Amino acid sequence: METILELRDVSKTYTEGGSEVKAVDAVSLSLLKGEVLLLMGPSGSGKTTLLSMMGCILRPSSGGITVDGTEVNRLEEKALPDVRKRYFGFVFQSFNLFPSLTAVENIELVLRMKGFAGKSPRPEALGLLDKVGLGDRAYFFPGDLSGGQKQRIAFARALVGDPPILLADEPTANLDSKRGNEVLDLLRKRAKEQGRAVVIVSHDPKAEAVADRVIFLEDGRIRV
Amino acid sequence: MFWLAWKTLYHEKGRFLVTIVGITFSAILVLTEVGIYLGMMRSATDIIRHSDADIWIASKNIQSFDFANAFPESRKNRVGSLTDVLWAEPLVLTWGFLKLADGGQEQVQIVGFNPDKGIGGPWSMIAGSPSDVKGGRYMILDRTSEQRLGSLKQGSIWELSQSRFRLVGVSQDIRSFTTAPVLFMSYAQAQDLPIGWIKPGLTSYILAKLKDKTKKNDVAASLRTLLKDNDVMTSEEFVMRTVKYWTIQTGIGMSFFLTAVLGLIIGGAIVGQTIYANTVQHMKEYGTLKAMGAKNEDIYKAIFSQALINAAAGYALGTAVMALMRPSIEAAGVPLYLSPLLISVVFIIIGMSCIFSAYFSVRKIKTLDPVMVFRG
Ligand SMILES: Nc1ncnc2c1ncn2[C@@H]1O[C@H](COP(=O)(O)OP(=O)(O)O)[C@@H](O)[C@H]1O
Ligand SMILES: [Mg+2]
Repeated sequence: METILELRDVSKTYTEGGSEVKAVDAVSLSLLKGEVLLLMGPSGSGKTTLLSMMGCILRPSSGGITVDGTEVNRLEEKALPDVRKRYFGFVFQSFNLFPSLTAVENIELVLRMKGFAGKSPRPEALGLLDKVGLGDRAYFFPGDLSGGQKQRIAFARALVGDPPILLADEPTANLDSKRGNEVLDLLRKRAKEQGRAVVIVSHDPKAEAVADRVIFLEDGRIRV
Repeated sequence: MFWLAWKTLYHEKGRFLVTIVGITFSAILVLTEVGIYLGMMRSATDIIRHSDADIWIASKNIQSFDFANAFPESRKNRVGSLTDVLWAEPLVLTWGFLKLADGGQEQVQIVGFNPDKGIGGPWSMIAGSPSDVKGGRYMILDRTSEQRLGSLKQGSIWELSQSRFRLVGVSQDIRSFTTAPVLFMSYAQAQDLPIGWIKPGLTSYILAKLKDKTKKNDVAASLRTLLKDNDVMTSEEFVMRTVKYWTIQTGIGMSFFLTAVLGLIIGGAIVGQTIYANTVQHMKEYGTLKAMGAKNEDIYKAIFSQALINAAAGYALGTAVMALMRPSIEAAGVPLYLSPLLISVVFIIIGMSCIFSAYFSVRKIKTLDPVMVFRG
């Protein structure tokens, strides 16, 4: 399978109050198209830091990152938003939907942000909601929806622009086991049916069932 | 991103409404203060601007149109003798007391002009004509003074500074800065009044019209060397001097200005506060947008749009209220100057103050690190 994202010897050191914390320590890995990669590890082991660097939200202290053949390290800071826009979809632990926008408007917002060119983004946004089985909740505000529904909306939002990589940080942590399974199922289908790469950070044992590959982090290093 | 601004504002209807009402009050305050200030300055300079004269000659160190010292009217001949001068006319400005029907009295600003020429006289009449004051104790009062003086019936007899005058005409919308009623009479009668410092042979002003308007600065300069005991001004200079006097020297205009500025600050603060609250409330979502690839500028647009939506909605309501209030303000005798240009300029200023107030929110977005979206 083809590599879409590659980390080479990536490290991240935080300085806080004079002392240095090596949150990620010399991690190398390749992410393949169509695979589900699960990052596991105890709290504080560097999972979120690693995911942020993969998503070009955080710059590594050292090491190299390549996204679809582009050396991200060489890019200027102001070029990074465009890389994120083009290559990544994000799903967060606490959903991060705009409370003042309805379900369909939350998706429209990202369509607009990504430069939607047609007459109205509404039909496309409704189409994405249908895909996650929430077509009938299009005009609900997030505050009136359950956690599982919110996470499915967030998932639909992450599909805008059909990005090749989906990054999910603890996507099931705020959901009960049934809703969690639904979301994991969507993530797995994204990899298997659309051939996109999916990275999941999770403590959730259920996530192991959908993963092709599991990487354990401990003190910022990959445990072998 | 205008769309997002509208949605987030509209979602918090209560806050949105309070902000709009705040801007409405701010707009009313600014428009009223600026409108009254401009109205008063127009009143203060009305006679100068309507006189058709290019040059005004006054007593030395005159401060404003309303307070002039007397000087010999014979200087008119020296002004008229210049080849560039088309005509020169004297104009008297003095003060008197008009006795009212109820026994009280009102101070009035008396303008004595040459009824053969009409220079410095009333320019808009609803009854009679300016030349009717000729040849006797005749006077013209303004309709706007009716509130102070009672009904102005043509032909009625009034007692002015111990002389009896007949009201021969009524002018329209001619006011003085001091709000004292403006009373027109013939130049000769004004010199003859048994009060004040004007006596036969003395005048308050000499007005001159030039053959060629474009030469007025040169002619004013030569008149200055000719009339060392007078102030010689182009009519624009005299307007500016009068405006400056009422605005700065007396501080009256300044107080209007400061209240208008206060209105602007209040409006800006209300919008700034609303937008800031809105921004802080949506920090996580804006961070999410940044993580998903939005640029700072995209989010700035949403924030500035919020400022503009608030400003426009509040201002529209404010001008509508002003339009409704205007007749009663003017009926109360307050000259209120409102023009489309003024309304647009004030909108731009209020809009800018709202945009400026969004600065704190923008700064918060600038320093917002999208990494935060994965934390907490
Ligand atoms: N912004 C930061 N500043 C300083 N230290 C940080 C920061 N973010 C994370 N860390 C530290 O880095 C380590 C890894 O954190 P994180 O990547 O959040 O781990 P995980 O997601 O596995 O819990 C922890 O020790 C954490 O305290
Ligand atoms: Mg974490």
